[in-house]
Amino acid sequence: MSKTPRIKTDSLLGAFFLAFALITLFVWIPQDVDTGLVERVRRRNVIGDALGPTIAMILVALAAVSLIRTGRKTPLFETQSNLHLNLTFYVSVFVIALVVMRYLGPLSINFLNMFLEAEWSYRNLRNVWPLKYVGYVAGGTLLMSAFSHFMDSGLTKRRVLLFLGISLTIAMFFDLPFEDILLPPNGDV
Amino acid sequence: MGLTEHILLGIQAVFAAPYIFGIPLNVVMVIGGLFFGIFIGATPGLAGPMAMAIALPILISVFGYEATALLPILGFLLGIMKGATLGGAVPAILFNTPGTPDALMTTYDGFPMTKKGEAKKALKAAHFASVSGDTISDIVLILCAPFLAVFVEAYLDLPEKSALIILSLTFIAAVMGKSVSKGLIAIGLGLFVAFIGDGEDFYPRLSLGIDAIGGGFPIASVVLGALIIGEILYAMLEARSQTKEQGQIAQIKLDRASRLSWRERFSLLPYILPSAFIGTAIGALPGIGSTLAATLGYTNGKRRHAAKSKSGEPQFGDGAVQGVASTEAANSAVSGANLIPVLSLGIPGNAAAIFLILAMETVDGLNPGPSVFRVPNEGVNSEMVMAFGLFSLMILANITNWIFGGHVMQLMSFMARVPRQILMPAVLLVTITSVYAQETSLYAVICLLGFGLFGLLMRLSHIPILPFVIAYILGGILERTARQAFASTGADPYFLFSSSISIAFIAAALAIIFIFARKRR
Repeated sequence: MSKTPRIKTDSLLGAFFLAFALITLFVWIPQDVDTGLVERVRRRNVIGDALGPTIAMILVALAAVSLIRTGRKTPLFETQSNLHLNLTFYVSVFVIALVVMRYLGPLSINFLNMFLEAEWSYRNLRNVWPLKYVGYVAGGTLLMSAFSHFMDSGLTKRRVLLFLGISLTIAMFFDLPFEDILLPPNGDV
Repeated sequence: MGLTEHILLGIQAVFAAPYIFGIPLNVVMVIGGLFFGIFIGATPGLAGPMAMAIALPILISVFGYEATALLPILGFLLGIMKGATLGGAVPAILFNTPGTPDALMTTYDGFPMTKKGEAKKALKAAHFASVSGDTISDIVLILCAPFLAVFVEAYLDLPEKSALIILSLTFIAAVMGKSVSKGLIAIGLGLFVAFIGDGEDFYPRLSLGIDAIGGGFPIASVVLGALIIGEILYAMLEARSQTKEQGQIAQIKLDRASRLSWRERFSLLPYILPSAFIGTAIGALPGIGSTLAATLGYTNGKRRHAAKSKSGEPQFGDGAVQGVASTEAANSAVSGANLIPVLSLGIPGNAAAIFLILAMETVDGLNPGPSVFRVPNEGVNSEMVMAFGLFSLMILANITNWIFGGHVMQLMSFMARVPRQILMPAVLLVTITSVYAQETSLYAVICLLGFGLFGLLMRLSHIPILPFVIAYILGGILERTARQAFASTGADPYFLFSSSISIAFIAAALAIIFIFARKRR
């Protein structure tokens, strides 16, 4: 990470947090908190819900001003210049893996229903092996494989199989000894 | 009931648990946690807090939220905390790769010793120093925490307690990271996130009208996301930009001849004891951490060794066993002392303490803070019983560590050969699964990953993450204490300046910001 080009400075970071604090102080907090800084309840003055967030944001604003003033020329993001691509990759993998985890089990049931002309529901079968592992293991393997490839660009069939085995092991580690624990997505369906 | 009865009840609580294989459950959990901790510490890239984060939701799912669950859960977490510090020395000595950040200084002398065929001696010295430091630190904790708590309870009222939390947060913001401003931004953001979806009014504040946020973010998602997922994502970015150096670690044979005699152990005490006290003093202050303790312990030992060593003895950096002992005693001594602010003030000082506080807040039975050590006029203070149960668990962990720790750490040397590109993605999936096991909701997982990305961005922009998490945990407590202080002083807007103690705390907070800001410029 040391070869990083200096793309931005601390001052820019300070400006970002100053803008965030000001928007929060003058737009978000007044719009989204029902009480004031101090309010009167049963003829007594009490601290309102707005005071805590307001003080927190004043602190952020003051620290941001100080950051702008000191204005060091340290790199804002000490990483490769294609950080936005890496972040996009992270978010994409998370979204795809979670979608697979959430919907592969129910989709498999729908698929089986089509061929077997049955009327099963995933909710009723979420405790049946191996159905209860389908989404988790597929999503987990995908997640691990994608990130492993991201780290060293060396994804092989063998490594995918290894991750499949790891996903299955983790699933069984959580599922077999503990009756009350549900694997994703079985608590949401 | 007096203090002695509470102590006895605490010890009894540990051994009165159900038995597994003829051993009390709490003892099994301490031993299991310790071995698991050594395993984690011996794995480069993993650290104690990461293992505690993964274990906590599973433990809560298994044992539940009732008070009877507290000691087994805390026993396991304490075991991890102690074991991971010890385990960090294994790859540092054998492979020149620190298993945990605070084991970096151990590589300076540990690895040269390995190259000279003295690996076993270095491991033994690390074990002896680490457990000695830890034991001294625990003794200081057991002696100091109750008295500090009694002092706080006797002399600090609500305004002073509010001021004390502000002082602690300011101190953490100032000492962590390279910039006081960034530390304060982290504190402000942590407090702000703590206030979302919370409050006294019927309308959940700052929830943007979204029902899911109405109850606030799941605490496990925020803490594990920012601390653990952020760290994993950062490590992945780092790995991508580094050349592949994995898989080249040679097999090290532990030479049976290179043992550490009792005479040599005794000669290490002048290095171990000062380091242990340095580590204890640093551990008692919130936010500083074991890496600084290791550095100071090493520097102090180096100075002594330069003055006292005979000619021909290896110097620090060339494979001096005293170097390994000085470092390990200092970084291990942090782990006991960092519970002093936790138990007496309810303020976590480092990442491991955060997970202990999280466990105490999630499970019934012990709310850390000054009231824990209040001796009741009649009846039993169940929180004090739990606190002494916790101390008993720590002593048990130390005894186990003295007897078995050295052997287990030698067995774990194979972990340094696990490639990071396999390990990191697997830890990511285990963390996701562990949060889901506790919250049973994909919303919690989405929050976890969201805060993970947030944690990554904070790391990349050099904003320290620990002040954010500590402020998030203390945010609710600070607001509650301030509300009560405001009400109890008859709605005095200057309640933070209502006594000389609270004025002193606020003045100290401002002075800390000023001094550290000038120093860093």
